[in-house]
Amino acid sequence: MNNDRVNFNEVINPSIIDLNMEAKSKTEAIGKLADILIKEKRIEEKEVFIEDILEREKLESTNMGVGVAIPHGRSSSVLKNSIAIARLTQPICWDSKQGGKSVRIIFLLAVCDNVNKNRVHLELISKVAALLIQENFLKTLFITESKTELIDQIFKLIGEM
Amino acid sequence: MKLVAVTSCPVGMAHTFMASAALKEAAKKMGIDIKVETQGMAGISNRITQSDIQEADAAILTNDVVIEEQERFEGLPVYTTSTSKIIKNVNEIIQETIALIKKEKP
Repeated sequence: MNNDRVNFNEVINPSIIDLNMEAKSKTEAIGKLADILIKEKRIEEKEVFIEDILEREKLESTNMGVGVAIPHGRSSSVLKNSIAIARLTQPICWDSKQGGKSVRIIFLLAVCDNVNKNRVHLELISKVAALLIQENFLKTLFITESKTELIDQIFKLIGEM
Repeated sequence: MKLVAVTSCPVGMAHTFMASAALKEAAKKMGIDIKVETQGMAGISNRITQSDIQEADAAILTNDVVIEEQERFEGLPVYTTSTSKIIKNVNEIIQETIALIKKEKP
């Protein structure tokens, strides 16, 4: 049993957070987040990466119903485990099946396709899920203009888990 | 008061873990002991044992997909709901579960 914990300092950083993203659709927003991850050399082959994410969305929408979606992809195109965060200037419709419930915040999880993938994927998902049910954290997420404040709060809360 | 719960969803990722996190957080705030088993993509984790069930007052089970070994919970008051309802209305769900216990064991 491998108990190595994910180092969140390596997974989240200010260069992969955009608190004022303009996007009119889910695909556009995911595309822009993928661009950021490409620029930061955390993924390659943008199209492969996006296709994997959208395939997964078809199986189960990741709209969490609190204005936040957590799309996630695990493909050979991921170079470094990452959580990219976008806050949209305008909410978008994420999934017509869910009555078009709108999403303003996106946590995009990119997981390397290697031996640890299941464990890493589960740890990222469960930690992000645990963050998103905390009202104070959601408040910060929707209003803060400071990436540092957001990241500090994420690390503090994850440290307490 | 002790509750046990099992969360599971079709893909076994996002909703399973979000519902589990919501239940644990809400129970903690209410001072209720809860153990949540997740039946996810990577299999069963934090498995609910016979002794957990013996100590428990009720179970909360999700019905997005059929959960494995549901028969374990026979004999306990069971509140059935979905992962999305848990994510949205976790406090109400715990309160309704408590009401269920009181109804079955007045």
